Amino acid sequence: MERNGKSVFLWLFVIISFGVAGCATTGGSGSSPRVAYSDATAVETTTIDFGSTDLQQIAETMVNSMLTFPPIVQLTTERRPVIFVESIKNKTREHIDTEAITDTISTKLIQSGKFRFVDRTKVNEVLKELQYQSSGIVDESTRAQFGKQIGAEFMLYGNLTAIEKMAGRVKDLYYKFTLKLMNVETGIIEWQDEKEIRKIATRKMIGM
Amino acid sequence: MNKKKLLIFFTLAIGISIVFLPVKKIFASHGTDAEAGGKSDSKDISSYDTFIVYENMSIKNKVKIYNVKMRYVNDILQISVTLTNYTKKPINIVYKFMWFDKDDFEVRANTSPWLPLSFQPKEQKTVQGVAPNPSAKSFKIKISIDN
Repeated sequence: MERNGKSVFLWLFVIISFGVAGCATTGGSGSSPRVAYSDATAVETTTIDFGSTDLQQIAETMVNSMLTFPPIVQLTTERRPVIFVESIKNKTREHIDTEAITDTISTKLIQSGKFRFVDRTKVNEVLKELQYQSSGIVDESTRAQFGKQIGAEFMLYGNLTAIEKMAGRVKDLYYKFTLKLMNVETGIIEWQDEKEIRKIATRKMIGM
Repeated sequence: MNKKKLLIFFTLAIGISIVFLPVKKIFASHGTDAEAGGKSDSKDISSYDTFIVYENMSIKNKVKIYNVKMRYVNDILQISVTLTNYTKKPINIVYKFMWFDKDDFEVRANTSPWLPLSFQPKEQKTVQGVAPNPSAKSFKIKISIDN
C-alpha cells in the first residue's frame, strides 16, 4: 500500500516536471507566440533601454540641425562636400550598435542631396576589385583607374553617454548624444550638436 | 504775419510727427509679424486644419495647430508648427511629419519617425521639421495619442 502511494507520487512528479518543461519551451502559453507586423517608425517603449525611437529621434535631430546650420548651408549651396564617418563612441553600460545611428544619419544626409560619403570600411574589397580590373581580364575602356578616389573633406564622429539612477521603484535614464563634423585639413569643428533623451520607468508593485 | 503762420504750421507738423511716428512703427512691426507667418489670437486658427491629420478622433478637439511657419533653407523646406493642448489635463501625444512634392506625392513615404511630445494643461509647444530633400514643397503633421 505504501509502495503504491510512493509510485503514484513519483508519477505525479514526472508528469508535473514534463508539464513545466513544456511550458518553458513554448513560452508559457503552450502555443507558439502570435506574430504581427507593426509600424517600424512607431514610438517604442517596451523597455527603458536604448530603442528604435531613441535612434530615430537622434538621427532626425542631428540631420535637421546640420542641414539648417548657417555655415553648413553656405557650404552646401554650390557643392556637395564629401564626408567619412569615423565612429560614435558608446560610453554607456548598454550594448548599443552605434553604427546603426550613423547609418541612419548618413542615409538621411545622402537623401538630402547636400552631402556625399566615402566608406573607408570597404577599402580592402575595393582594392581587390581594382586589382582584378587591372589584371587584363577587364576591357581597358571600362577599367576603373587607381588613384582616382576622392579624399574626404569632413569627418563625422561623436559620443553617446548615459546617466542611470534608481530610487526605489523608479529608474531614471538620461542619454546624451553628441555629433561633430570636423574639417580634416584644418581640424576645425565646423558643426556640432547634441540630443538629450530622458526616460523614466516605474516598476509595478506586483509582478515585474 | 505770414512768417508767424508758417512757424506755427511747422511747429505743429513736427509735433504731430513726433507723436505719431512711434505709433506707426508699432503698426509696422505688427505687419512684419503677420508677413512672417505670425498669428494673433483674434484670427481663425481653423485655417490650419489642412496641415493636420488626426490618427484617432479622440484627440481632435484636444490638440490643435495654433501657428504654422514655413521657409526654405538651401532649397529645403523648413517648418515650425505651434500646437496647443486645449484640455485642462496633461497629455502625451506622438507626431510625425509627412512631406509632399509639387504633384502631391509623398516624399520618402513612411520614413519619418513618430516622435513623442508631452503637454501640460493648456500648454503651447512648437515643433520643427526639415524636409528630407528639396523636392518637398508642402507638409502635413500627423498626430496621435501616445498609448
